[in-house]
Amino acid sequence: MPKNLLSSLGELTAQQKQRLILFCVLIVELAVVIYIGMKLIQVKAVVDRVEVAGNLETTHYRNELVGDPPLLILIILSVIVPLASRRIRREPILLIAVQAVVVGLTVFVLWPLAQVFIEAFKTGYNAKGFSFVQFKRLLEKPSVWKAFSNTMVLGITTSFLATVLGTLIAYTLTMTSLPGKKWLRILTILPLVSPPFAVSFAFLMLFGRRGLITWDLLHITGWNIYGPQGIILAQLISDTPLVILILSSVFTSINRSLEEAAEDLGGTPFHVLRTVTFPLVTPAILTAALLTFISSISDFGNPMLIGGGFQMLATQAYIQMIEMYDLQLGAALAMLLVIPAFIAFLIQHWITNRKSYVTVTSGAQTGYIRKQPTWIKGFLYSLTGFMAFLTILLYGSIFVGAAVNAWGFDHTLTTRNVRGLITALPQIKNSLIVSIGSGIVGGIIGIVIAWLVSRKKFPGKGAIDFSATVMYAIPGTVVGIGYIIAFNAAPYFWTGTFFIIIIAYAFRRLPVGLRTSVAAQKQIDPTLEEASLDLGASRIRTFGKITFPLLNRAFFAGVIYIFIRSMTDLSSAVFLNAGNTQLYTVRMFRVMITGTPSEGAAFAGFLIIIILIALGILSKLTGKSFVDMFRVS
Amino acid sequence: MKASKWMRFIAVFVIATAILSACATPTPEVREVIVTQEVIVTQEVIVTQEVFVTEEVIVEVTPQPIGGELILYACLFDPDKLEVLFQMFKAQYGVDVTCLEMSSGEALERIRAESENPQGDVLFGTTNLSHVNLAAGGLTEPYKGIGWNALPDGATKDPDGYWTGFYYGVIGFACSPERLEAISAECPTSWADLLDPIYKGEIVIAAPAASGTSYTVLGGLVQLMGEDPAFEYYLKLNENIAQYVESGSAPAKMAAAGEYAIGIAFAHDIQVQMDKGLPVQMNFPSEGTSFEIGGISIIKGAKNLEAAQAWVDFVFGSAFQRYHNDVAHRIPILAGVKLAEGTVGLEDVVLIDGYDPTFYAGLRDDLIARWDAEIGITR
Repeated sequence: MPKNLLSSLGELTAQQKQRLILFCVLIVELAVVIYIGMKLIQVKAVVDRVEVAGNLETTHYRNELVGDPPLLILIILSVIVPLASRRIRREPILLIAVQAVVVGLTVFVLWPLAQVFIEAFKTGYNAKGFSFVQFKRLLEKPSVWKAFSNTMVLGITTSFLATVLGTLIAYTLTMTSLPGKKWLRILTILPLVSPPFAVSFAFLMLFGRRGLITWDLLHITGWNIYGPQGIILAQLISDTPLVILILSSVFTSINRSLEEAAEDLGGTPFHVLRTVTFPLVTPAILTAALLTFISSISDFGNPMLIGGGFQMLATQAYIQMIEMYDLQLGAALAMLLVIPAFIAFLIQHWITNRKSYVTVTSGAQTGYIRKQPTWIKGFLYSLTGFMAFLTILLYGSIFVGAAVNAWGFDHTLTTRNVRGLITALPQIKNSLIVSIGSGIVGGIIGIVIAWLVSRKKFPGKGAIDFSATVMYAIPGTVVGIGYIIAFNAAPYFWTGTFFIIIIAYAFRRLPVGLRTSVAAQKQIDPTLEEASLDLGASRIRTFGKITFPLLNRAFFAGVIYIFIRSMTDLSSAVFLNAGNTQLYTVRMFRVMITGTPSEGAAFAGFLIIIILIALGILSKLTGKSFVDMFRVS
Repeated sequence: MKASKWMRFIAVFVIATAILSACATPTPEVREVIVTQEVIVTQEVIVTQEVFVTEEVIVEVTPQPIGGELILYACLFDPDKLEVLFQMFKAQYGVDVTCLEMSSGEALERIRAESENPQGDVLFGTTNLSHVNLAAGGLTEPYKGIGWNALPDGATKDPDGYWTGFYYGVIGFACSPERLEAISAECPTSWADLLDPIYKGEIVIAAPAASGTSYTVLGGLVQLMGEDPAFEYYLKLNENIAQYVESGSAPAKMAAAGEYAIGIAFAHDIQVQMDKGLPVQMNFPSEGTSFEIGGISIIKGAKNLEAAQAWVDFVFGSAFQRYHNDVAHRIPILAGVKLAEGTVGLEDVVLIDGYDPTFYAGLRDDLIARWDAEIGITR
């Protein structure tokens, strides 16, 4: 009998076989969807009324539907919609991948964001219906427009300064013969391994009203770092490394023969810079500017620590949602914040998708040395040197501060603050679980989506790419709130579990992981794989020997990026962690607000050391150099 | 033709899913419970109310092992320092206590967001304003425990037992001697003193919208002066304020760290800074100071209800009240609990006459809206 069946299988035409496979896939999917449906929507017997007659008590129960029917409908739609394309139907693996990705993005990106959106159009908690009342209330608040214009002006300023600074430093690090470039590169991007708010904390320690330099050394009394100036300084330190990374990779990949040709044709160095080099790097500069703009306006920790009451949208949304207990007004405020970020994101998305920049070459180049006039060299060297010096100063103060009794008052050495960290070990363990988990999950999702986006042709590809990267434009507070509203409904209770924090971080940080993977997959010439297949290697062997080693790099780059960002995140963590999933940054932020500077410094220093150790281990595992660990684009 | 075939298939797919999930629905059931006799609740609570000489009310709780765990939200004080109490509780009840630090607002938002599946058991601490809000939203469960019964009727507890006050906090001025010396001024002793131009740019307080502490000040001043004069006062005070911060306890820390001359905060937050050995001086306004009643309530649907109730009782035990006063410097709510040395008690300060935190909890939205429109907008 089995033999018969097998032989009859062999007799099937290719089309019939394809249909049979598709049919089997659909049956399995139907079963999965039904299973999920039963998990999502359950019927619970609840007490309707209790009648007591004599000593006989009759309890009537009524059935009540608990769960999220709209979510189930969305999941079913996400499974069905890809089926409409014949191109997708033809390839079972593609079909499953597309369906899984669409379901994942719908449930973990669009659904939580929609929750925040819906909340902004409600009149009150648990209220039904649609209303603009929250936006009307916003318009009536004079402080809202102030916060809005403050946020925009600050965002544009930070973005401009960080882009100029980052571009110049990236140029210096890649195209000049500055000695000690390797160390300078590490130093200038070091702020990536600490939470952004640790920078403003260090600024306060050094340049605050009671700062070591401003008060103890220089005795300046009129100086005040609290306010927009402080936020901009702190954001410059924490955002410039991103610009440096983006621009460094562009500078190293510029094809030098283009410039040489221009020079040979008699162009002056300035003329070459203006007509050849600049057009090549402009898209990257714009991208960097837009990304720092988004990062600046959605920053939460820095304005809280060093803002001195300067009104910004991200903090105002937090105050409305959390301190004023007005989720709806807070959600409406968050919308105000999401809109400019979203516009910036759309422009950035458009620039990247024109594919006109970065002449991607296989293998990393170190850039080439250009001849520069001495005064330009001097300026560039001192600028880069100054940034590196400032970084050493800021992080040095964190480590020194952690080792003394009370920074600013009693500078005798002590291990008290470091010993105090023992109580934070559970939180660091939680943070590590979450960050490693989200790194791996996000890395895998990134590889799958990148494979779809860069290798496959199917309708709706753009939509997938867009949904996968849209999280970049969403401030962390909004993501946190969205996840809380979306995933704490009966009968699945995910809030406060490691699972939901891992998923939230994986999807929130997916955009950059995805970009890395796409770039890497585009570098892999499909002919390599074809050659391997033609030479008789099996598909599996080809994947193992050719595709995987090449993807490996991108995978780990994504994992590292998500890991670092998850370890240092504060804005989502505040909402997502719970009783047994307390995260380290949340604890650290509170210590910084209420504890002595030395206690806060110990917390910050410990986090930085943990991240550096983790990076060191990863660098050993992957055989990449330490600087390479930071290469995200 | 092909397309319509597929549409048909998809339709069948949807219908099949719907039918199959409907099949899983259990039919409504009617259960009959026969009550053979009237159930008399005989909840025997053993309370040894030892009454001491100076009317010191000490509530002793006889522990019974419960086991399991207990999750506290908000956590009014450094969880590390509370560890001693958690260990004591564990020794008595066998319950592992976890305290999740968060501001009162964060706690409220979480409890509401988690209402269908509460992750926490007890809202532990924070001003009664939060507890009033939670009770109004039907998010807490009434419990008239030992503490509730021991307290006199009045502002310190909810009449229906939704929350019980267990400490007082009073507002004080934290002063940095070093900064004061720099501007050659004294630590202020009254609300009127704060308006002195000598303090210009040297006073820090939280924004009322961002912090319960600061709203306590606002409500108190409205009670003390009347609403319009209070706002006139704020407008003048505004001239001297360096910044409105986002955390209620930050002003105490900033004054202690010598960043500003004066921080307006709760006395317990100021005393915690003193304990760290930082140079900080504390004064109270002579016209009368505002205060909070810190409360405790059990979150509705708490997974560890028994442990939660035991904790609420435990909080009123002498061990807790004394230790809490000694380390966290909150003023015990039970009359006559002996204060730890160096701790400020209610008798050391003048309270604003007739100030009722629960009453002012109801005015919060309006007063803060007015504050934002008149004072906040100037920044």
